[in-house]
Amino acid sequence: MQISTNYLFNRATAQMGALQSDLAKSQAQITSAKQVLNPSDAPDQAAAIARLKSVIGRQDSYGKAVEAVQARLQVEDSTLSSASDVLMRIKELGVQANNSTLSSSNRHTLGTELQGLRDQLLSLANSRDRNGNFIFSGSRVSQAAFAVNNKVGTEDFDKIIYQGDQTQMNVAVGDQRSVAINRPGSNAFVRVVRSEVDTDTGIISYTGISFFQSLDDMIAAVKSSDSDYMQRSLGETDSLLQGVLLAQASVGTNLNVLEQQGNVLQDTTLTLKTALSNLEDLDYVSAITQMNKLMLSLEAAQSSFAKISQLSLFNYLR
Amino acid sequence: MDWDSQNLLLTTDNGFAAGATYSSAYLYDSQTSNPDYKGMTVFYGAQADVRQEPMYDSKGVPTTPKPLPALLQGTRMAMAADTGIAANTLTLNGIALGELAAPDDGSTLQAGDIATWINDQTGSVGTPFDNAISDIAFSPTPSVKDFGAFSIYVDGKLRTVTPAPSAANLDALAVNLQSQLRALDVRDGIANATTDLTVTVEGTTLSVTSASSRGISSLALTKSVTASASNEIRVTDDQLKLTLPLAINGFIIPPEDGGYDSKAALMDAINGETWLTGVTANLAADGAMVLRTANGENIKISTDLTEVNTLGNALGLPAVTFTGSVSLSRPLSIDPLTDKWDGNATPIELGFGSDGTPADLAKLGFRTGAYIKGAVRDDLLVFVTGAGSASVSASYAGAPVDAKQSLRGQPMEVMFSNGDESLGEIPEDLYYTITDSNTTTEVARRKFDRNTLQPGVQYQGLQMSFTSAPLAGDVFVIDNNRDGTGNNENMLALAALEQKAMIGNKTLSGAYLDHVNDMGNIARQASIAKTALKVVNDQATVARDAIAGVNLDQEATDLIRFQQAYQAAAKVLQIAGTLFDNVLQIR
Repeated sequence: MQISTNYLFNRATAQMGALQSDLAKSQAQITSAKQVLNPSDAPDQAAAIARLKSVIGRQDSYGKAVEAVQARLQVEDSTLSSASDVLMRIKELGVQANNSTLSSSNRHTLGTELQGLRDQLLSLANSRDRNGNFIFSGSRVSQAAFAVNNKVGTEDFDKIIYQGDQTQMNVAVGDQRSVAINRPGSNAFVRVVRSEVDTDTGIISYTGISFFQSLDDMIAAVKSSDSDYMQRSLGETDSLLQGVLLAQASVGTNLNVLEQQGNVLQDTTLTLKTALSNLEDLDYVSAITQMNKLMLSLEAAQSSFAKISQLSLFNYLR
Repeated sequence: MDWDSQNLLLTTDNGFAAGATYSSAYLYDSQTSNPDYKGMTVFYGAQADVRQEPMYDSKGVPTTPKPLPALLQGTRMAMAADTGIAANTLTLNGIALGELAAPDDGSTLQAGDIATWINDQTGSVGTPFDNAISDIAFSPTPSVKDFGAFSIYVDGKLRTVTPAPSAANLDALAVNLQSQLRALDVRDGIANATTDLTVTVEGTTLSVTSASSRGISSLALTKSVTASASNEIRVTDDQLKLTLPLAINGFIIPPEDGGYDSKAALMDAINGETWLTGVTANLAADGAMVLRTANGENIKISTDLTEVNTLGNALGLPAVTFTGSVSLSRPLSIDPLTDKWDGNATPIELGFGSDGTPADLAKLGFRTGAYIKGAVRDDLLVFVTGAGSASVSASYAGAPVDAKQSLRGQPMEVMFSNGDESLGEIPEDLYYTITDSNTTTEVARRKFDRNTLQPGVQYQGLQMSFTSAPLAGDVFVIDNNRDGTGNNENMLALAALEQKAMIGNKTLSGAYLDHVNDMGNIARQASIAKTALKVVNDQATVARDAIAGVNLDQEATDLIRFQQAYQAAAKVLQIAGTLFDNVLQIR
């Protein structure tokens, strides 16, 4: 078939152009270290890559949530352990005060120390986390957990009441996993039930006494050397201590759960990142080989064109 | 209700809690003027409200619905022969409907009669297009709920305003009309627009005057509720039996013994007798035949004058009289400034007078219901009493109220105490009282059963369960925790949006990935197409160049050939010239 000169030149140009664009793409792959540059390069893999990236992002945010919850739970843990130490000291003093050999002025001194310990407990119960929220107030985090009731006319006027609520706040730390971040103050600093027997009728009636009310009663009993009430207060202090220890145990459990969850998240992230790398990252060996091959083809095309295009009859005509 | 009925109704099977008590102060009594039980208004009768037609945009997403006038459509009437409607039986939008006498000849009242009776009473006053009417006298004073539209010509321009349905009397109506007319004047930029037109009421006369003596004429009030009667019978093709005869309203449709050639022939025959029967036959959009009368008159189907129907008739219908049905409509309340619905509800309420019963409405073809508008704040139990049989159904529109949000508006206190001997309770039993904190009224007092598996308290949407049974003296306060600023439920809901199907039934990231996928596919297809088409292009170019293209070597060869041919020709000329010179030189 007759080859027109036009065709010769056009085809050579087109082939060199194609080789150059392939070479440019190969170079772009090598510089970005990615195999899939645009979604159109591999549409099926592009969707999988985007999905994997979003899942990895989610695991990262869960990891941050785990850290935040851990910080908060550690604050609670240390507060509750201080509170249990204080309560144990209160119990010691209570036992000491119950000793009948002490004089009333000695008991008065003990009562003063007890008062100081009770104030320390109050400030522990109203402690805040690093964001300034009161940790034992439930969801009413801008109010102190325990404060003096100043609503005139109510039953508990001028006594310390629990001002928070009972909401349990949960934070998602995994796809199907959420952890309670708080303990309401009434679950940590528990109420005790005091039973009174009516001497006339023999009917037992029960009243609920709040944490600090019980401590205040103990202090009053010690200061006034009332042995019946002191005995009763010792029993109540046991219950108070039990309550604080239980709360501390639940915080500890949650911390364990968080640690395990952190490990789980790390494993998951590793798996996902491996999968992502398999899909997306460039295999340098094959890429560089490909680039060399293209460069060779381009050089061959260019030099062969240079030689062939010079062949012309006009060269030999005078 | 008497004691016997109460005992029948207040049982645990009907949903009442065991040991519950109730307060008669809370009961709704239609006879007294205590209509607002817990803020709900209940209408008993037949009601229709402004219809909202759902509108969709081009993608099928619902947009603002279009308001349509209220339409109360009845079914076929069921009046007995020689009975009328007594006075004090029915009311329409609060207007007591007067008496409708039974027909003199002992026949039954037809739908057209009912429609005329209603239209006569929903007082229309004033005739439009009568000149120089600037006041209207009402006799008797109609209920202001009745007015549909108020039209007036001012200086030759027609103003139509809809009086507010909330106007309680004629004076309020006048004030409302005045403000609307003045607003229209302001819109049109009339001088002194805010004071020019005045609407006044004197006794039962309403007048409109203009301070600047503009020409006022043709004051008219149109009816709000308009009644119309219709009667339609649909006959599908598979019902027709064209070989049989037919008589309508006692007139035989020719030919006498039946045997119509086709449905079209039957329809032509029926339409040929319309001047006698009053019934026309037409084709509906789906091909069914529809028989109609002009004003809802009854249609009696039979085969001959003596009305004995043995084999059936050509229409395949039972040989009975089909009665008409009445429909009531009320136009929308239009804001004169924007010409659109102004949002006021304009319902049609067909209720009962002092002597009315649901049977009366059923005779007219209307179903009786109890209609509650707005949110229902309580559990409702509906008891239907009476003799005979009834079919009852219930429905609601809108989404059910979130129980948690509705409970937040009703703070409560639950107090446990020992049984109160003065109320006949055993002191050893544990009772609890539920008190509504807003009104400090006791809403329930029930016995607490300790012996069930999971003892608890259940009240409306609230459920409390106890790990250990409460004791007398325990108080639980349930309120709406407005100070719970640390609550992260909204945040959790926001985070859960990631997994929620928001776009169609795909999550946000799912929809985005689908887009990416689509784009990738389309781009890939485009580049494949480009490669394929390039090959086609190349081959086309080759083919063209094969025919029209030029090879330089070939052209060079041709060039040399022509050059040599030229040189040879030139040489021939040179030789010819030399020869001729030589010839000339011979002497």
